[in-house]
Amino acid sequence: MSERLARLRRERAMAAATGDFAMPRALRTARLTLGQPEERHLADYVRFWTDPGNTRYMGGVRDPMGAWKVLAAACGSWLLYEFGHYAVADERGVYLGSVGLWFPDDFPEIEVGYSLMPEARGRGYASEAVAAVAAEAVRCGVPSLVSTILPDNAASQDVATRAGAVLDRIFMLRGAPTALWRHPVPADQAFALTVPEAAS
Amino acid sequence: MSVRDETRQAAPSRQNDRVKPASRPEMARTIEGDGFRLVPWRPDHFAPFSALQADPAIMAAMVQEPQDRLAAWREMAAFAGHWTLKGFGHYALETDGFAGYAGLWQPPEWPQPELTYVLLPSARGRGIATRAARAILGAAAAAGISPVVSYLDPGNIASRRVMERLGATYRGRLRLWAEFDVWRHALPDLTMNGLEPQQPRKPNPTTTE
Repeated sequence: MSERLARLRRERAMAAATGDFAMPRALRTARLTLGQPEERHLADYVRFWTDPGNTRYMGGVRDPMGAWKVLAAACGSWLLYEFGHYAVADERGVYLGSVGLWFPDDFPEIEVGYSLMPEARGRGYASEAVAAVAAEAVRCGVPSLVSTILPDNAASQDVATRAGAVLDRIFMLRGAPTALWRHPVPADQAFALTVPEAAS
Repeated sequence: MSVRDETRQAAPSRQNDRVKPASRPEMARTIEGDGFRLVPWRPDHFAPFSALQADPAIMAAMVQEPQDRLAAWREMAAFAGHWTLKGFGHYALETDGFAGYAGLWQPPEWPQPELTYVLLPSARGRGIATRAARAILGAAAAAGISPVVSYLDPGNIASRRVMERLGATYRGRLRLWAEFDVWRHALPDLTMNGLEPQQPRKPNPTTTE
């Protein structure tokens, strides 16, 4: 993995995030609706983020104020970048979890991230939502797409694998060795072939 | 099972329901001031904002620790998203370029929206804080947001003077993560000095398509 390629990918991700790349504000799949996170999701965010099990692979529990800030930041991502996490619900409108694109300051590339409420797991909802988000991101021109996953999070790796992602490398993120899974993005593959590897 | 859970089973919340509660305010997204602009957050605000959030003196005035870049990114995203959640929030404050931020802030369990302003040292001493605060109070009044308070470090003499200039009244002490003086702002007269927001009823672009 060349440092230069990683830097170029980060630059392209930043250019996309701050430029023309934008995601639709709502998506539908066979079983799911993906809509905007809003204040009415606060109780579900607090329930998710104050639970040690749910947040074990996500930096640990937050207090309710911290959970509120996660929700506020999820909303803010849409305003800053024109993409972000969706609030995922079933056909009855019941909240299932949060899936979408995420690009905080320390991420190497734009991520498709996913976290489901405990009662919503085991039914393929994460894979269904991730497939829709990844396909739409590719259609909208995302330069590359990754998922950052702690190496011992087997369930999350299964979702990435089912989405067609492959392990790209292990890198240090927030002080922890973290697996970078790379989702198939045709433009990214073409881009990678054009990188002058010798320059670094 | 909570009451909320029972309610939700009886009448599931709808993902695509765009109807907002009737009481929800919508404050003007942009305010043109005298020598400054209050504007929505943009990605290019992050570099100067993260520097501001890393400044020990600026953060100490708010009784907060300096933030690293990731914490500052989360903070700025939350500042932006506050508008989606509440219909008001912090604006980025621009003079020649980014010069700080100002606006209303109301996390859960805060009884009233708090008027806050943070200026880079280079933007101070020109009355911008007072004028920005007045403009925000005008925009808040136009959106029907009342009352508005400010929480001040009791040792922050400069901000106390701003409170007095704004006509705010001292209401006592409040324990948050530290002791703060509570100042309650007077409702501004919307006809004075051209302080009305430019677009007092502009629809929220994040929730209408």
